[in-house]
Amino acid sequence: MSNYGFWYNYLWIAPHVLLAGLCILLLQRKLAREYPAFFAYTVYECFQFILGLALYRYKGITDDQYMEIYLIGACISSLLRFAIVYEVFRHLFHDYPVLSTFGKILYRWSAALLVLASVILIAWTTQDLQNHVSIWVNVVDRMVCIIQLGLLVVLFGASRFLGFSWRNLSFGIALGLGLFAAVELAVTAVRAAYGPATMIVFFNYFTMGTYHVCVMIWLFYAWAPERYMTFSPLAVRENTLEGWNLALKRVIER
Amino acid sequence: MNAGLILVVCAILALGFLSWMAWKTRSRRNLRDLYDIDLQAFENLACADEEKFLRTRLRGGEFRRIQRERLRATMEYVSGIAHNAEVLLQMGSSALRDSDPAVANAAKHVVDEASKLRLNAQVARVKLLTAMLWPGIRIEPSGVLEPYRKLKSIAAVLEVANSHLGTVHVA
Repeated sequence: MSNYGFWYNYLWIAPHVLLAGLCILLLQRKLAREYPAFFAYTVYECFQFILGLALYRYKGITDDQYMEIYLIGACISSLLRFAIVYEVFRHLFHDYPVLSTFGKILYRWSAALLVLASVILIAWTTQDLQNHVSIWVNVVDRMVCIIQLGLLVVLFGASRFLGFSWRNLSFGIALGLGLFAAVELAVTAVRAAYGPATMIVFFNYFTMGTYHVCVMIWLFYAWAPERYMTFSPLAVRENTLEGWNLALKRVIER
Repeated sequence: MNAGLILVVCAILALGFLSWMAWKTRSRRNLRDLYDIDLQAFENLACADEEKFLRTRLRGGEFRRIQRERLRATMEYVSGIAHNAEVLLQMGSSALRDSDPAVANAAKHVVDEASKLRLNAQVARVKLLTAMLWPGIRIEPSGVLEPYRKLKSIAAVLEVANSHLGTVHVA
């Protein structure tokens, strides 16, 4: 195991300490029940970090064994991130029951098209598939990034198109996850094109720094209070509604 | 072009799009003003008979020019309706979790209707845009009017809300 400098250790440890704080905040504000996948992800990331730290300190493990454990952990982490994207989708459409079916259809079709697009893109761009590490870097990681990023782009686009308002945490989760997926996609694309060792130090710092920013975004939006607009039920008068509807119907059907 | 570079460009574009969307989402949190929609004028513009009349009376080039102007004006009205739906959605969504059941119920009603309205208005905008690009092609009334027909259930909410909030006229 190699020894790294202060900033490397900071970028490895600090986001996980903040994630532990985020877990506590989610529990305190009863958001863990509302966002179970996101909560599971934060707990899992903390657990994975502790395991990684223990293995890093344990001298009897080789770099290859460490990498295998890391890849399994990364697989679970990616699956949990998919669950989070679905959770954000569900939350966003939850307040709009009229469009929930539209939301489900949009999610399924977007996911199917993105899987297809990612398979085509990766088949076109992949050259090196020598071992399971290169398969992970070249195929799985990029597919996951393309699909997650695509789904988040669709989610933000749909919410803008439909004029939806976001709840604080949903917005923060989507923003943080989108930022991380975009940077991860760019980094894995460069690595797949030029080899996993290309500018390894810079890309490691860059990815870890981005993750740190993501965790801070999540923490901020979990902590920030929801802002509500004032609303008066007096604004909706049934008799005016009906009268207006009739007038409109007459004009439309003439 | 290097295939890896294409993915990097895609990632940067996606990141730019997400940042722009996030900024737009945050900046429209304080939407309050509703546009005053003159539905009489809107219905005249969307009237299929009037379009038929113009088509038979005018020569090809002239019809297309006038039709483009009519569609542009219709687009302004539909955009105004889409904006109003968005404002009502923001208001309604904010009030869904209100402790007063009357407020929460009213908010649910507004959210249901405004979300339908917003979707239909956006679909109508896409159709109008298509018609503006090819004004010579015949647009069946259902193409533009059908989504509008679906707007009727929410129109009253808009109209009443107009009378309670500050209004801005559609030019």
